[in-house]
This record gives sequence, structure tokens and C-alpha cells, in this order.
Amino acid sequence: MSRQSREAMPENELAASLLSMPSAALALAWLQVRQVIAQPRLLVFLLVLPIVFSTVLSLFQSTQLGQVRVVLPAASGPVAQLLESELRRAGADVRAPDPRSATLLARNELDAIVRVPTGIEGLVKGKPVNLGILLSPTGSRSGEVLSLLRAAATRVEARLAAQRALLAQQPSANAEQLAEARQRTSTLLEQPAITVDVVEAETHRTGKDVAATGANQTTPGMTLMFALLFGAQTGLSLHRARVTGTIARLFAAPVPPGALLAGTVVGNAFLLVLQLAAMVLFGALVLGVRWGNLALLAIPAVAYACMAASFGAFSAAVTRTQQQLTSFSFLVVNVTAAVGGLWWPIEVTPPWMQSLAYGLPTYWGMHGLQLVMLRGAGLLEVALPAAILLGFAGAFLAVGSRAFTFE
Amino acid sequence: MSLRAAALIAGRDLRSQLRSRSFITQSLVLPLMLTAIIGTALGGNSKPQPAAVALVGQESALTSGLAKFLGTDQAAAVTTTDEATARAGVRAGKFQAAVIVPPGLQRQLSSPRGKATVTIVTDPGSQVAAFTVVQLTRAYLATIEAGRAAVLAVAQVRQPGSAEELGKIVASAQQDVQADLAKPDIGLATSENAANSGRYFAYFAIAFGVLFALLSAALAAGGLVDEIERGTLTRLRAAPVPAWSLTLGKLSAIVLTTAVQLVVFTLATHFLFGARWGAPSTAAVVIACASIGAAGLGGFILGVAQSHEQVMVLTLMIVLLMSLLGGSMWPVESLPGAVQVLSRFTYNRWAIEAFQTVSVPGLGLEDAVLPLAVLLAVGLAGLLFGGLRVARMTTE
Repeated sequence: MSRQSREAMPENELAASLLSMPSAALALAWLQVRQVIAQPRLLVFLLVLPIVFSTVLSLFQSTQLGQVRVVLPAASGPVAQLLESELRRAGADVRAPDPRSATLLARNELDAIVRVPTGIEGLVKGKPVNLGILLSPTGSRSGEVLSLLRAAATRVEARLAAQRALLAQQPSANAEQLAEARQRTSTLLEQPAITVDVVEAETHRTGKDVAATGANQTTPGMTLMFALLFGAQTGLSLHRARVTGTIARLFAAPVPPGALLAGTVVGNAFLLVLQLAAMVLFGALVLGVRWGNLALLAIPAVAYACMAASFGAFSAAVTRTQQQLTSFSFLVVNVTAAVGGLWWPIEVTPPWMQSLAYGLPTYWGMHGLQLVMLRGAGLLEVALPAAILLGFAGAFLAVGSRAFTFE
Repeated sequence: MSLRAAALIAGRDLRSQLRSRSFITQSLVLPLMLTAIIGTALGGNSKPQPAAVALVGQESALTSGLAKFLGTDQAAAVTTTDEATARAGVRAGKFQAAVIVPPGLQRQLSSPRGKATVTIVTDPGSQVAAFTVVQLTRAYLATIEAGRAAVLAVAQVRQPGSAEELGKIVASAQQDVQADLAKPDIGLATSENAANSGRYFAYFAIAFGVLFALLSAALAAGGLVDEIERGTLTRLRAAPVPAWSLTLGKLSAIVLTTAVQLVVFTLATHFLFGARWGAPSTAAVVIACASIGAAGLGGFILGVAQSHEQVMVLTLMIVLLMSLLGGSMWPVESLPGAVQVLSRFTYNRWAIEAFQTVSVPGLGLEDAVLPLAVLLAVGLAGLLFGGLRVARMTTE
């Protein structure tokens, strides 16, 4: 409603109009919910995308590391053979050189090319050598490659050191005695006295001081990210109503002007609460996510839904067209998701980025959920993130309602 | 004349895109911001962070040697603690692994039949760190085994007549092995194939460039869907321009928009962040093929979407899924084997491979023939599909 028409309205009509605001807003909210449910493309945003991404990301995160793929020249002597066998023993996929090795390395289809110096057989006499290791300029596995090569090299050295110690102790031993002793050394090393038992810690346990990894990170992260993306639909609905003239026609109806904004926001917030509930159910049943106390989880979740729906109103206020709004929301959602800890545990980011995250609603949404999921937090602890999220919602609505032009 | 008309239409559409704030935000600002954020967040340099390791065990030469060995080249940052704290620390994410050395290990090893078990508790969320700790711990224990094997072998060869002589032999052999292993004989000299200073950044610069090329093409095609929705494309039938010329112009605009986005992105990442994309001439060829490939997706969307909202949903679904599977969100080599095979069906995988190949000194276009051919084939097929719809709209 324009300022002029508001001024022209008699006081009693204005009061009646304001009194009817909640019921009008609720009616519009219900309309908004029905409209969204009737449109499959919006249901994709609301449910399909978060489910697909949570599932795919959870699968990736629980995957074991692949073999380290190394190119090694054909062994020319016993020490080179020993190096190759130790690399295989350490779990490497050892491949012969190929004319395409450099190209495969560039495309990360190989992890390293090892250059063995000609003097490697001199290691028997303790002559030091350097293995040349060519890594991919865009590879992500340099840490694994180097630790695997370091381990294999150490094991080669250990075997050679044992043999040299034997030789040093037996200057007068005959060939038969030495061969027998070498065989014994080798047999002993093949049957180690020390067994290494590797066990994975149980980290996904509800309780105090538990880390956020796997589905516990990806499911809430993707849910919150797509909730914010869906929240931008509030803005698209408002823009579309303006473009198609729906808003102008509403002025002919006895509906208060703010009801359209309130109705759209409330309707979308309701849908977002449904989305979060569906994701909790899906995460628990399919992905094995442990959400903790559901009543407490609902507090930050509902606050986040209100914030996300209000974000749409804010987006509509600061953009002029649907295309601008799409670009704006895509930029904001992706950047705040990355910095706010929805893509990866916030602990892996540098300290300055963690400080920046405190100013983002995405951080408080994720923090609120993880307080309940991973730390077993109580009502007082989740109240802070929920209050901050509601503060963001209020600020977004204030800007949205002031800047959005109904004319 | 008709080609000139097509060029004019393409140029007009391109200018319109470049003046659009949406295009600048989505295709230039967002990719640069995300590349910088991800490059910073995930390390931004090639040196891996030391693994946080808790070491449990009685103070001895073995445990101090293990701590020193794990700390070599900053592979791990070792904290000595008790077992309960170590296990709780791994659960809490404070430690990425805990190495638990049983009490009396050295005493057990002094017996020829002695056996012992070292336990390594790992955080499933820190697989690379766990891999490093397991590898290095096993290697260090191999050196202990070597000393033990040498002692036993020497004792067998020398066949000492008394306990005193045996003691001397054992001490001497152990000393020999420890002195020998104190200074490593095998050095690891690493070098990279290119001068890119940060692997993660170098990778993500390419990966995000490809992702946003796809997005630019999809949005440019979305603009054409808007024209169809508004009816402006149909009205162009009144103009004295052949339908094929109009179609060619409109499709060329999608390719050009994507190419401009890629050129600006490569230049910006090169000058702002030092990313390397190869020699300018080879990079230009790859950009051209990658633009046609991405425009193929735009053509597909153009062929099926009926409204702006459908463009948005299809764009998000296709771009994000292809990016997830094709290596734009994380390196393909870190994905499971089946997903790596699946990634061959994505635009991102082929485009990333083409850029990776030509970015390495010594490799050129001849090494990237297959990915470039795939990009061209996919692009032309998609453009043909979308072009048929545009042609239909301008002739019916």
C-alpha cells in the first residue's frame, strides 16, 4: 500500500486493516505453502537437492584412501628390487614407466614418478643416494606419497643395516655361515616380533567432546545450505508477484500490505521447518546421523528456518530483478556456506576465517545443531545461537519490509 | 550477409551479458571469491600440516626414537600422554592418531620368541594423517626389528660360549645397527612438474574455473529461455534474418560469454594468485574447447527448460552434480573407484584434465587431444540440441 493511500484511509479502516493482518498473513502463508507443494521444481530445492548432496557427500567422506600410484623404473639389482617390494608391501600401486607417465601425472592419474639413481646398489656398502620424486603440480596426495616413500626407504635401510651389522661382526665367517645368517636375518624380518594393530576410534557418539566428521558434518551442512537457497525463493515469489502485477491487484482486496511479505515469509519458514524435519528423519534412518535430543535440536532449527525465509525478503529488497536476486543469493549462500562451516568442519579453516564466521548466520545455524548433535548441549547453550539467528531474521525482515516497494 | 547477421546478433547478446551485473557477480566475482576462500581454507600451500599424534608408552629409547622419527620433516607433531587421554583426544578430534606402545616392549623383544602389539588408534575423519602415522610407525618398528634380527643372526653365527660373550655380541650388533640407521642413507628429493606454489590452490583454480564456465553457459542459455518465455524470440521472425543465422548468432553468444568468463578468470587467477595455465596459445585453444563444451550444457538446458525457474533448477542440479562427480569440489583421485569411472561422464573431468595437461611445462595440446575432442563433441551435440529449439521458435 502506498503512503498516499494509507493517509487517505479513515482511521477506523486502518485499524481494522491492521487487526486483520495476522489472519491475512496466515491465509497467504497457507497459500504460499500450497503453491510451493504444487510445484515440483520448488520441491527439488526443498527436498531432493539436500537429500542427494547429503547422501553423495556422506559416501565420499566415509571412503577409504585409494592406493598411492607410483611409477618406478624396472629394478636393475637387489637393492632396487628390495625398494620395489617394500613399496608394494607398504600398499603402493607400483607401475612400470610409460611414455604417457608425464601426462598421467599432470592429470593426477598417477601420484608420483620415482627416479632411482644408478648408484642405488651402493647402499649395500652404506653409500648414500637420493631418490628423485616427481609430484603432480595439482595433486592432493603429496603427504601420502612422501610418507609412503619415507617408510619404504626406511625399511630398505633397516634390512641393509642388519646385513651390514652381520658382516661387521663376522669378518672371518665363511660363505656358508654368512649365507645362513643372511637367510636367518631375512626370515626374522619376514616374521616381525611386533604386530601393529590399527583401529578406528568411535568418534560419532552423542556425548561430550566428540568430533564432527562424515555424515554428522555433511547432512546438517547441506541441509542448512539448501535451506538458505530455498529461502531465496521468498524473494523470487515477491519479485514475481511484482512483475506479474499480483501485488497491484492485491490492493483492490481488503488485505493489509505487509500481509503479503509476512505471509510469504511465514509460509516458507513453515516449509523449511518441514524440510529440516525430513532431513533429520532421512539422516537418521539412511545415513546413520545421530541428531541428539530432537526437542532441543528443534530450537536452533526453527530459528534458522525463520532466518532463511527472511533472507529471501532481504534479497528481494536489495535486488531489482529475478536474475539479480538469483545471482545475489547464489553468491551469498555459497560464500557464507563455505566460511560458516557448512562445507567442511570449521576447525580446518584458518583462525581469521573462523573469526569471520561469527558474523554469519550459517555459522550459528551449524553451531546450534552441532551443539545438540555432538556435544549434548542443554537448553541454555542452544538459546544463544537460536537468539542470534532470530536477530538475523529480524534484521533481514526489517530491511526487506522497508526497502521492498509495493507500488 | 547471413553470417554477418549472426555475428551481429552474437556481439549484441555478448555485450548485453557483459553489462549485466548478474553475469559479473555470478561468473567473475563469485568464482574468484570462492577460489580464494577454498585455497585459503584448505591450506593454500603444498606442504601438508603435521599430523597431531598422541604417543603412549613408558619413557625409553624406543619411544623417544619413535617420537623423533614421527617428527622428521614435520610429518607429525607428537605429544606424550597417557592412554585414556590419548583415546579421548582422538575421539574429540584433538589428536588425529594415538600410538600406544605396550609396557615392557623392549624387554619382550630381547627374548628370541618375544612378541608384542603396538596399537594405533586413528580418527576416521583424518585418513591422510592416519595413513602417515601408520606408515611411519611401521617403518620405525622395522628398524627395531632389523636390530633384533641382526643380533639374533650374529649370535647364531658367532655361537658364543658364555653369557658374557653373548652380551658383548648383542651390545656390539645393536650399536652397529643403531649407528648405521642414525643417518639415513636414502634421501627423498622432491620436485614438481610446474612452478605452481600451492597444489590445492592450483587445482582449485582450474576446478572452479571449469565449474563457473559451466554455470556461465547455463545462465547464458537461461537468458535465451527468458526470451522464448517472453515471446521476444518469436517476434524476431519479423526481422529480415534467416532462421539459421539467428540460431547461429544466439548459440555463438553462449559460447562467447563462456569464453570471456574463462579468459577473465584465468587472467585474474594468474595475476592475482599466481596460478599457471600454460602457454597463452595452448591455453587459448583449451579455453575455446572448454567454452564450446560448457555451451553444450547450455544448449541442453535451452532445449528442455520452459521457464526461468526450470533453468535455475536444472542448472543447480546438473552443475552441482557434475561438479561433485567431476572433480570441481574435490580432486577426482580422492573419490572412490566407481565414482572415478562415473566422473568420465562429466564435463568437469574432461575440462579439468585438459587444463591440467597444458599447464605442465613440456606437455602441450598433443597430450590433451582426447579431452579436447570429448569437450568439442559434447559441446557441439548440446548446441545442436538447443539450436533445434531456437530454430523451431524462429521458423514456426
